[in-house]
Amino acid sequence: MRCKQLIAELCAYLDQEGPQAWADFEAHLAACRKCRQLVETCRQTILLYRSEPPPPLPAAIHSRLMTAVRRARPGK
Amino acid sequence: MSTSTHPSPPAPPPPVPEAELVAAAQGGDLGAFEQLMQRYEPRVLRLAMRIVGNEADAEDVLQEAFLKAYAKLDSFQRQSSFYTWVVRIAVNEALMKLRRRRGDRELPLDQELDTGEDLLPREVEDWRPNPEQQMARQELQDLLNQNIASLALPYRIVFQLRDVEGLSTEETADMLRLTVPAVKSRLLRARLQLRDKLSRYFRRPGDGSLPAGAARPEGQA
Repeated sequence: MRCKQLIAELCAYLDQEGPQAWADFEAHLAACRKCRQLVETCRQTILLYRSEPPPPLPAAIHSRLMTAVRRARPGK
Repeated sequence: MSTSTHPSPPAPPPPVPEAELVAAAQGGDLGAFEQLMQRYEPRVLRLAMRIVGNEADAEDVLQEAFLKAYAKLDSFQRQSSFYTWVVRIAVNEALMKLRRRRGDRELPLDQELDTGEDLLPREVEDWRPNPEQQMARQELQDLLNQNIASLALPYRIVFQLRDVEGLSTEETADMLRLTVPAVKSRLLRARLQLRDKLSRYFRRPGDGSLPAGAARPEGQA
């Protein structure tokens, strides 16, 4: 496996998607420092975004939304 | 009446399961619907913000999404989670908002954006450990927001749905009317671009790196 092929399979590896075995991928990782760094920093990128909680909602926005919902009637 | 002098406050009750709240809301319990809203409003607002890019439009999208969800509550069949259902409504509202703003009907969501020649990362180096602890929470939030906002819409919407909202590839493809391979291709490019951008902030001091646009890093075949 070459670096370019590893990049093409990067998402499937990070998400552990698909039925394929990862022996070739991991053998390349063991031998290529740049690809190890790439895989690890991609994983960290995803974790940073995934673990970042959304900012708290301002109370005024919830109040406006509830006022609008109270005025509405569910479709029957 | 309680005369307890126990020093710690009582533990909060466990959250009501989403399915119970949905069933109660479908039975006409507005309080249950409000609890569902409170549970998901911050995430839906952030999702809307990341698609439409400004607070006023994002708040409109949030409001339209929950009003539509309330109006169509009876038709929600619980084949997906309530959250995924609301996300689908919010994405549609946000895309409609963008179309109206652009004055056209089509958004370039299904356009082929590049040839794949951009896939080799510009900089590859180790990051400092625990990058989330390198800056204050607000600073980190701003950095993440700025960087995702700088991606082209087809990339940032796929990244947001897959990696932030946790939707599957198939759900994302269905929601955006894209093929599964198109979602996978956009997700790869989005992840690589964001990684590249964040590397400028989190790379380990003294680690060799190349400036943006430089030749491929040494060692990459």
